[in-house]
Amino acid sequence: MKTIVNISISITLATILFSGCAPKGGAGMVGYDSNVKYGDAKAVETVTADFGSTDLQATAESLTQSLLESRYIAKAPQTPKVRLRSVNNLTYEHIDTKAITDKIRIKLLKSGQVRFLADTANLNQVQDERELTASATANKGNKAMADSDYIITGNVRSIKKANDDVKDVYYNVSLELVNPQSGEIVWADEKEIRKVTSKSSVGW
Amino acid sequence: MLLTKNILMSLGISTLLLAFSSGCSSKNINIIGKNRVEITKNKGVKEGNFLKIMAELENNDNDETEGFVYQIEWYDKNGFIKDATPWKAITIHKNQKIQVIEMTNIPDIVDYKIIISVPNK
Repeated sequence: MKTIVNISISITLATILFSGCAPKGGAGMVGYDSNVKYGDAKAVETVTADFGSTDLQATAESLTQSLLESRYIAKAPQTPKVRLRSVNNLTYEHIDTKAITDKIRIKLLKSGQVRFLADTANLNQVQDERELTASATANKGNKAMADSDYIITGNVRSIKKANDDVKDVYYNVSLELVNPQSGEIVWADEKEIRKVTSKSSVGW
Repeated sequence: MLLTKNILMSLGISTLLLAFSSGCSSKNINIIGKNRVEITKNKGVKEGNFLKIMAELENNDNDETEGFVYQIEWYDKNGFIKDATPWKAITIHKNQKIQVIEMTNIPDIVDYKIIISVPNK
């Protein structure tokens, strides 16, 4: 009996001592017990039927794969120089189309199959930098910035229909690879997305 | 001796049954959640510098359309994960088969894993 009591006291003391030394949970975090949580950035999001992160990621993924398979990129004798032009948002909702093209550019640059020239939106900054370099080095022979092999343009469209029970949204994102010298469209592809919201049930 | 042999044989049979019933026997496939979708084929081929994979998915159910999400993880020659696709939603109608084709945009990918997550009903 005495032995059992001694063991119990020892265990209790050990627990108190060791728990005192153990670091408290939540180290390296601020507000770890709040309602804010980090989620999987690549998870499928179906909060509303509007164009969302899942659509952006799926569009960029699909169109990049298609572009990398096109013979003008895959079988080009030299790594082609490409410039992104604007993708027109022809839908009735706000869609940041630059987010789509930026994502495609990142993926294409990682592939090593394409070189990108600065966007037209950033050309002023690039021009300033060139002028600064040219004046500092007296090098007037800078290569023209307009010598892209291809430009990428495109459109985002949507068709929406709804009745009392169902809301259907169809998105179509199309991109083109254009040779600016000849005006020839050498590649085009599209990503279609359909999202259906049912008022009677929750789910896919 | 006979008892040990019987135990070993039972263990072996159980392991085999478990492997078949889970449907996750391939090293390239990982199914999370209910196993209501079957991957009947999967293979990877090099297309230029890039690994391209094809998987054939089948919904054997006569009654229900299956909605689930999938993701592909891309691995380099050292077995390190280099990239992953976003999770993509897909629907297979009852008794239908579909092909999923994905290609990485990173040149030094040599292996892949298909992860399928099937929600509870």
